Amino acid sequence: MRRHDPVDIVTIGGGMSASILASQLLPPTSLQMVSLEQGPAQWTYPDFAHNHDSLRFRNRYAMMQDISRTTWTWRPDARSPSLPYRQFGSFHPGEGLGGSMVHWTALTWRFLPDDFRYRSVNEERYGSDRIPAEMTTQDWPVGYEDLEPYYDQLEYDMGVSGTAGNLGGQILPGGNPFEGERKSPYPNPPLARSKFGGRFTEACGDLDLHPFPTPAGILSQGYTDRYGNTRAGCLYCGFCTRYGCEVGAKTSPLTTWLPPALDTGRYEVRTGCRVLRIETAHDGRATGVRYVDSRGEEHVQPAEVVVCSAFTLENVRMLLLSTGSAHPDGIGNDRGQVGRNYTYQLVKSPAKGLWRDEKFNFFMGNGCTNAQVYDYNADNFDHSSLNFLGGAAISADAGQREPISSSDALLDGFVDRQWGADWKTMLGRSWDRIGSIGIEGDSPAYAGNFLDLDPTYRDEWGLPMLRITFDWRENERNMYRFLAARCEEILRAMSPDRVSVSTELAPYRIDQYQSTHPTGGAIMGRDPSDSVTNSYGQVWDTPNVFVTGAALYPQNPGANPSGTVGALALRTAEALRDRYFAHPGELL
Amino acid sequence: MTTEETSTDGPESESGRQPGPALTRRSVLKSLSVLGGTSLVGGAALAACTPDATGPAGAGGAAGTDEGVHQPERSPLPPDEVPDSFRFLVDEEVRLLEAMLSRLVPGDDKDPGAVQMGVARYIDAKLADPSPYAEPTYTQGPFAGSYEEAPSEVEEGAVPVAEAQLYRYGYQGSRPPQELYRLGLAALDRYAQTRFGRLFADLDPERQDGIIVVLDDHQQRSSAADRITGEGPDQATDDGGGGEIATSDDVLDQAEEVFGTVSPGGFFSMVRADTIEGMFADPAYGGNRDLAGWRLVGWPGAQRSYSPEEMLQGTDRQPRPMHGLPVMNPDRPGGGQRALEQPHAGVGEG
Repeated sequence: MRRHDPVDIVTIGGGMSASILASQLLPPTSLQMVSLEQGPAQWTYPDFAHNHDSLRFRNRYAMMQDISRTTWTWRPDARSPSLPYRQFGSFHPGEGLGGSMVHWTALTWRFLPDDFRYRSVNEERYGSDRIPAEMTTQDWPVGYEDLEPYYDQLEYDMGVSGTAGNLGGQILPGGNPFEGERKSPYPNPPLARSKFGGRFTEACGDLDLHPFPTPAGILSQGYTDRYGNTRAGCLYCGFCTRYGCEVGAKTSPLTTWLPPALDTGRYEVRTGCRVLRIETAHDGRATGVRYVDSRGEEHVQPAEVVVCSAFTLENVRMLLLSTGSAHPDGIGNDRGQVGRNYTYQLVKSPAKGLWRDEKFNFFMGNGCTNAQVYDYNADNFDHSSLNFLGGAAISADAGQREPISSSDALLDGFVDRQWGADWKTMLGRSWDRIGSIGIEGDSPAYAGNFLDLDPTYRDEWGLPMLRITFDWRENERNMYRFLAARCEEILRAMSPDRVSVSTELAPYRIDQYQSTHPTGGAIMGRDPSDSVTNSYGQVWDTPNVFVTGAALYPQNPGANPSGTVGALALRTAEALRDRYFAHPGELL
Repeated sequence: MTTEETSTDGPESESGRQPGPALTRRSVLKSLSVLGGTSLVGGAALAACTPDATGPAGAGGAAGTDEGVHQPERSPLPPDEVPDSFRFLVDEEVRLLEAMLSRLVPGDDKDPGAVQMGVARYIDAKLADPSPYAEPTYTQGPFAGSYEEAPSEVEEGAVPVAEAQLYRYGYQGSRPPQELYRLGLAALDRYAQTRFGRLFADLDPERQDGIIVVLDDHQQRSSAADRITGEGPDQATDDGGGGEIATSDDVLDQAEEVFGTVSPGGFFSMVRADTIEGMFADPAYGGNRDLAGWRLVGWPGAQRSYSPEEMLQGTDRQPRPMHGLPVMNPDRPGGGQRALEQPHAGVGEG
C-alpha cells in the first residue's frame, strides 16, 4: 500500500466537473488537486485524429466504461429480481480523461425557472391533490436566478452555439421564448441548420409553435475562450455522439478546462485508477480516498476535501460503499437519504415519417443540427384539464445517422418483416428518407424508484454493484400519450408520404438506448431531512465531502442535464475557492 | 505546459521513420499501451505513424498495414487483416450460413446482398478473432433462469425471472457467440430436417423463408411488448412491437423444442444483427465488400467534413473507407501546423 502526500482536494473521476473545479480553484490560489480517473488518458490529437469507425465507437462503445469489470444491476420494482446490465443499452457512462463529456452529444440547456420549483409550481397552479401520493418530487434549494451567472459563464467557457430567446426580459424572435431571462446572448450563432430541421421549423411555425435551433456545446465558428484556448468550428462530419471530436469543436474538458488547470503544475490526473472507498476518521470527517492503480497496487491519497465527481451512478455508489464507524450506512446516509429520488429522462421518438421523393442528408451534421419546441415542456402549457404533470421538449431528428445502428429499427412500421427482399429494397431506397419527431421529457421522482447496493452482484474488486430500481409510472404514460399526439401533428404538417406512430409508452427496458441521463440519488436540498447535500453539493453529515453532477437533481426536467452540471460545478468551485478554505469543514 | 517535444517534428525528420513491415499498426499501439499513453516515447512512435501527406499509403509504406491510421488507445482495435479463408466456420457451416444470409438480404452480382457483401467472412472473422469485434459484456454469474408459473421451476443457482419480463433486462446470456453459432447452425439444420426432411441449404427459397419467419416470430414472441402481464390494461403498447405474431404458438413451441438449448429467436436476432454489421461496418472488419453496403443505402462513409450547403442540398461524394483518411489536425509531414490540442503534462497512469 502506498500512501501519498496530502493534497487539498482529491476528486473521484477526471471528467467534466473535476476539470471545472480544477480550472476555477487552482490558477488564482496555491491549492493542490489530484483526480483519480478509472479510464485512460486521451487527447484530441492524436487520439481522435482517426476515429471514423462506426462499428468501434458507435456500436462497440469504445469510449464507455469497461462493463466487463464492473456494471450496474436493475430491476423494475422492489418485488422483482435484479440482474446485471450486461451489455450497453439504456445509458452510456464514459471513462477516460474528460469523462462522458468527451463523447457526449453536447445539447447545452439552462433549466427553466419553473424546473427548480417543480412541486411548488404544480401545487400553486393545480392544487396539491394533483401530485400523486408516491411522487416525491421537491423544489431545488437554488433557483434559476441563483444559477444564471454560472450558466452565463459556462456558455462562454464552452462557446455555446444558439439563439437567445429571452435577453434581459426581451423576447427575441427565433429563440426559445420559454427560457429564463438571460444576461447575455449565446457567444456563438447557432449551428448550420439541417434540411429536416428546417422542415420541422416551418411546420412548427405553421402550427403557431415556437421553434428554435438546439443550443449546442459545439462551436459553429472559430472561438477563443477566456482561458486562451483557440478552437475550430464544427465540420459536420457526422461522427459525433460516442466519438471524440478530432478538431475540438465539440467542447469537452480536453478542449476547455484541463489546459488551464494542468498549466498550473498543481493539478495531477492519475489514470487507470479505481477508487474503492472514501476513508473517514472516527469523528466522521473524510480523510482521503483508497484506490487501486492499473497494476492492482493499492494507494491512499489523503486530502482535506474529497469530491465525488464521477458519473451519477458511481457517485451514489461511492457514498454507499464508504461506510465507517461514524457512518455505518455510508457517507451522506446518516438519515437514509442516499439513493432516494433516482430519476431518468423520458426520451422517445413517437412519430416517424417517410418521404418518397426527398432525401434529408441525415448522415451529415451532429446531434444538435436540428430544432426544438418548448411549447409542451414543463409547465409551459396549461395542465388544468390534463391527466399528467410535466412535459417534454419536442425535436426533429438531427444528423450523424450511420447505417449499422440505424438499420435495425428504421423500417419498423413501414415494412412487414425486418429482413428479406422487401426490407433490403426499402432500406436502399429510404435510408435517408425516413425521419422522426422525438421527445425529451421530464422524469418525476417516486418513492419506488431508488438506488441501493446490490446484495448479489459484486465487481472485479469485490465491491457490491449499485442496484437501480426504476420504472415509468402512470403520469409518464399519460404524458407520453399526449406528447405522441403532438409529435404526430408536427410530423403531418411536414407532409410525409407515410406515417408510423407509437401511441403508448412501453414499460422501461434497460436494453434500449434512451439517454445517458440517470439523475438523482444524492440530491441537494434545504434540509438534511430530505436531501443528502446542500446547494453546493456539500454532504450534510460529512461536510468535507462534496458531490457534483446530476446525482444532485431532486428530479430531472425535460432537458439534457449537462448544462446544469456545469453551472453547479462553477458555483461550487467558487464557494470552495473563496469561502471553504477559510473555514475548512464547515457548511457553506 | 504541453509536452511539445513529442510531435513537433518537421517533414524531414518524418520521412526516415516509416515503420517497417514488421511494425503493424496494432503492434505499435499495443506497445504504446504498455508504455503508457502519452509518454514521450509514445508520442514519437505516433508521429512516426502519421500518414504522409503525399500519398494515402505513405512513400514506401506497405498498403494495408502501414497506413499509420492512429486509433485511440482503447481496446478493441480493428483487426490487422482479415484473410479470405474461413477460420472458425467449417465448409458445411459456411454453406448453411450463406443460405440463411441469402434470404435475410437477398442479392446477386449486380445488386449485392449479404452473401456478395462478404457478410459470412465478417461473421467468421468475428468468431475466429473476437477481440476487435467483441461487444463489451459483463460475463459473471449468477445468470437468469426464466419461469412461466412459479420461481420454483428455475434450477438452483439461477436468478428466477418471470418469462414475460425477461426481455426488459436485455442480454442475459452466458454463452459466447462461437458456441451460439455452432449450436444454432446445427439446430437450424435439425429444424429444416424436422419440417421438410432436408438440410436448410437444400430447401427452396420459399421454404427457407418460411423457416426464418418462424425464427423471427419466436424472437417477437420473446420480446413482444404486447405480452405484458400483471401491470394493468394501460400497459398495452405498440412501441417497437410488430403487431400480431403470424406463427401459431404450437409451431413456435415446436421450434423451441427442436432448437434445444439455443433460443430460435435469439439465434435469428444474433445473425440479423451480425448481418447488418457485416454489411455496414468498415471493410477493415472483413465485410462490406467493395463498400457495397454503403452504396446500397447511399452513405458516403468516412468523410472528413460536410459544408452547410451540402447539409441542405445533398452531396455527390462517393463512399470511402476510414483507411487512408488523412488526419484532420495538422502536424503531419508535408505541411500543416502543430496540432493545438495535444497532451498536457500532469496526466499519467497512477
